[in-house]
Amino acid sequence: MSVAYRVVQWNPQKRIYDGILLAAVAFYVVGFMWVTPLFDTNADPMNVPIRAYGSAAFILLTIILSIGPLCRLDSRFLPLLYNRRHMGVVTCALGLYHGYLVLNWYHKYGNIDPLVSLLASNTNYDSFFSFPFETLGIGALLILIVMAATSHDFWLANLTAPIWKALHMGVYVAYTFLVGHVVLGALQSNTNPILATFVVLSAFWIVCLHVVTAWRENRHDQNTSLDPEGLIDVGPVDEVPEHRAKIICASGERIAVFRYDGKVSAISNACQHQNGPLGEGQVIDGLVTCPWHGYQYDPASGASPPPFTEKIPTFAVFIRHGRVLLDPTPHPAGTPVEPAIVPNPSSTQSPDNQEFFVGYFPTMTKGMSRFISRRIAVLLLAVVMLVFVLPVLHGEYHHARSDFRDVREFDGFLRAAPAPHIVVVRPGETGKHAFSRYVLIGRGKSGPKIDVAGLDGKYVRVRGTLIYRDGGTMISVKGAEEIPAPSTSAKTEPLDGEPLGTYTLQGEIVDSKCYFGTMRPGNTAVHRQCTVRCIAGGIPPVFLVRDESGNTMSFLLVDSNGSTVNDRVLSMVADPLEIKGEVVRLDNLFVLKADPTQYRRLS
Amino acid sequence: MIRTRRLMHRQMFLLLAFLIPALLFVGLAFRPDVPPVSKPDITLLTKAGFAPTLPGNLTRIQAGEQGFEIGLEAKSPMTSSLIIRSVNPLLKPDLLVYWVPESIQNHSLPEHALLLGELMGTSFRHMTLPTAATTEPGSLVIYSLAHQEVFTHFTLPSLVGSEKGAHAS
Repeated sequence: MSVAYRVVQWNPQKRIYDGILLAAVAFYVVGFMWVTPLFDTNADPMNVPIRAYGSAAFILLTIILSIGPLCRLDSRFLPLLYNRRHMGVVTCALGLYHGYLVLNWYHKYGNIDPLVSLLASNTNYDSFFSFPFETLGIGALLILIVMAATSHDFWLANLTAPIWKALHMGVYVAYTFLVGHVVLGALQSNTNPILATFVVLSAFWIVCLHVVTAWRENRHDQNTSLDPEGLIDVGPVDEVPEHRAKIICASGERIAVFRYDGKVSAISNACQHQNGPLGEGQVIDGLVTCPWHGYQYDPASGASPPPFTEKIPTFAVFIRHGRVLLDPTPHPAGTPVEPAIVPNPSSTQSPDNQEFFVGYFPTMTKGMSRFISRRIAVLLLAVVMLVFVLPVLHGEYHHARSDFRDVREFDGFLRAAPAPHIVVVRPGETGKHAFSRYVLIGRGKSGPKIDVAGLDGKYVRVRGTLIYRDGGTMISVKGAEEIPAPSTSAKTEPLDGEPLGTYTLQGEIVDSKCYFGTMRPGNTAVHRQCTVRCIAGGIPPVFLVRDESGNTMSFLLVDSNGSTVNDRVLSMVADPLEIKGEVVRLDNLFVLKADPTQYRRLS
Repeated sequence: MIRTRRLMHRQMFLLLAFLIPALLFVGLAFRPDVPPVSKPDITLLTKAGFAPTLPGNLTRIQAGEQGFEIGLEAKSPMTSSLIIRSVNPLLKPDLLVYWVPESIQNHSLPEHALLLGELMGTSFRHMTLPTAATTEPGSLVIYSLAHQEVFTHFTLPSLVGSEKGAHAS
C-alpha cells in the first residue's frame, strides 16, 4: 500500500523473489549459450542468443500464466503471485532483447531500414504456413510492452482495477500470438518431435489450467435467492469461520461476509487494488487483509486505515435465529455499517488453521514455506534440465563457414553472368572441368560493390573473405583490380557451360550467402525474411535440391534468357517449390534456367 | 476479480481452448516439407558426379578431424572408378580430389597431379580413375584450391586384393 509514488516498494520477500527470478533467468540464458556449442560445434554464435532469449521469454510467460489459476486452486501458491508483475517485466525485457537480436542479425545491413524490413520482407498474410510469424511475435511483444509499462500501481490507481485488469488480460492474446510465433516460425524449421512436444504440452497445460479454473469459478457465481424481505440467507453464523469469510453471490457480484471478534460484517469481495478476492483473505489486527497484495480494509466501513484511502462498498447484515442475513443493496464505498453481533460469542469456533501469508509479512508459516520452497526447487530443477535439453533439441545447425577475419586474394577471370563470379584455374592435369568458380558478393546483404560490368571478362585480383559449405564457395569481396593475365595458361574457359538437359526439380529458394556460410540455418521459414532481404539486395538466389540419400545440390537461378531473377522470386523463398528448367554446368556451378512465372508451389 | 472480468476470462479461454490446439495441430501435422527429387531427375545427380550406387566395401581414412570413406570399383581390366565421400562436413573450401601415381613425400601438389573431381558435403562422389591406377594404386591428394594448400593425402588401396592399407599422412 502506498500514499506516495514509489518506483518499487521493496521488502525482503520482493528481494528474495526477484533474486531467484533473475538468477534463474540468467542461469538459463547463459547456460543455453554455453551448452549449445558443447553439443553442436556448428552452432551459429549469433543465432544461439536469439534462441536463448526467445525460449526464456516463452518459458517465463508459461510460468506466469500458470500462477493465477494455481493460486485459485491452492492458496499456498499465493506467494508466487505477490510479485508476479516483476516476472512480467522480465519477460518483456527478454522478448525485447530477442527482438533486438533478430533485427540486428536478420534485418541489418540490408537495402532498407531493419524495422521496415521486419514488417515488409514477408507479406504472405493470406497463407498459413508462409504467414509472417514475426508479426505475431511483434504483436505479442507490443502487448507485453503495454503491460509492463502499465504494471506499476500508479497506472492501476489511475485506470481503476477493472480497466487495468481488462488491459492486462491482453496477456492471453499475447500468449496465443506467441504460440503462433513459435509454431509458424521455429517449429517449421526445427522438426525435432520432442521440441514440438514440449511446446504442445506447455500450451495444453496453460489452456487446461485456465479452463478448469474458469469452470470452478463459474460454479461459485450462482446467485443466492432472496427471502420475502429482500434479504439473502447466508447460512448459520457458525458456518462463517472466525477471522475468515463466507462468500456469496448476489446480483452477479461476490460479497464477503466476515466474522471477527464476535461480530459479522459484509463487504464487497473485490479489493480496490487489483480486484483481488478479499473473501479469501483474513482479518488481521481487526482489518480484512487481501490475499493477493495485503491491502487492508475495516470490515465495518470498507475503508483502508489512514493514511491509505482505498474504499470498497459495504452491506448491511443481521443475525436472526442463529443465521446470517444480508441486504444485497450495496452502500457507497467506505460507508460504515453497524456489524451484526454474534449472540453467543462463547460458542464461536476457533480460528481456522488455513495458512495465510502476504509478501510484506516478516515470516512465512513453516507449512507454507515448505510447500512453496519445494515448488520453487522443482521449478529450478526444471530450468536446469531445460538448459541441457533445449539446446540439444534446438540443434539442427549446419556446418558452414564464414572466414570473415581471413582476407585472401584470388586471381582469375571475372564473369558478370549468370551471377558475378571469379573463374580460378585449377592446378594440375584437369581435363574437362579446369576451373573453380566462386560467386562474388558484397558486405552485408548486397552484391559485390565493385565495377562488375567494367571488369567482366578481365583477369582480376579479388580481395575478400571466403564463405563455404558442402563444396560451394563464395567470396565476400573487399576489392578487385585488373591484373595482367598469365600468358602460360593453356586452359580455355567454356563460356556457355555444359548443358545437362531439362529437369523438373523440387526444392527451396535460399540466398546463397546465408546458406553457404553466414547463417546457420540459412534456409527454411525461420530464415525467410533474411532470405528476402539478401536476394533483394543482390545476393544470388539459389535453388536447393536433395535426393532421398541426402545428397544436396544447389542451382543458381536465372530466367530462360540467363538474366537474374532476384526481384521475381521474393514471394516464393523458403517455400517448397517445383521448377522445370534447363540445367547448365559451369564447372562447379550449376545453373537452372527457368521463368519464375512457371515456378510451382508445392503447398 | 469482478464478475465481468471473470466472464471475460471464461469466454477468452473457451475460445483459446479451441484456437490454440487447432493452431498447434494444423501447424505441426501439416508442416510443409521440401520433397526429395523424383526418380527421373536422379540422372542429373549422376551427371553432377554423385555416386548412383555404392561398392560393397568402403575403407575409412581419418585425416585429422576430417574422415573419408573410399571404395574402388574395377569396371574392366582397363577402367576403374573411385567412390569417395567426406564422413563429416568439409572443413576446407573447394576441396578437389587429385590422383598421382607415386606416394607424396611433401605437402605440395605435383604439377602432373590428375584432377578426378570435387567433394560436395558428405555425399558419395563418383570419379573415374586413370588407366594407370589399375596397375599402380598411387595416391589421392585432397587439395583446397581456395586456400591453395594440400589438405591431406593418402595412398590408395590396391584394386587387386585387399583394400586395407590406406592411410592418411
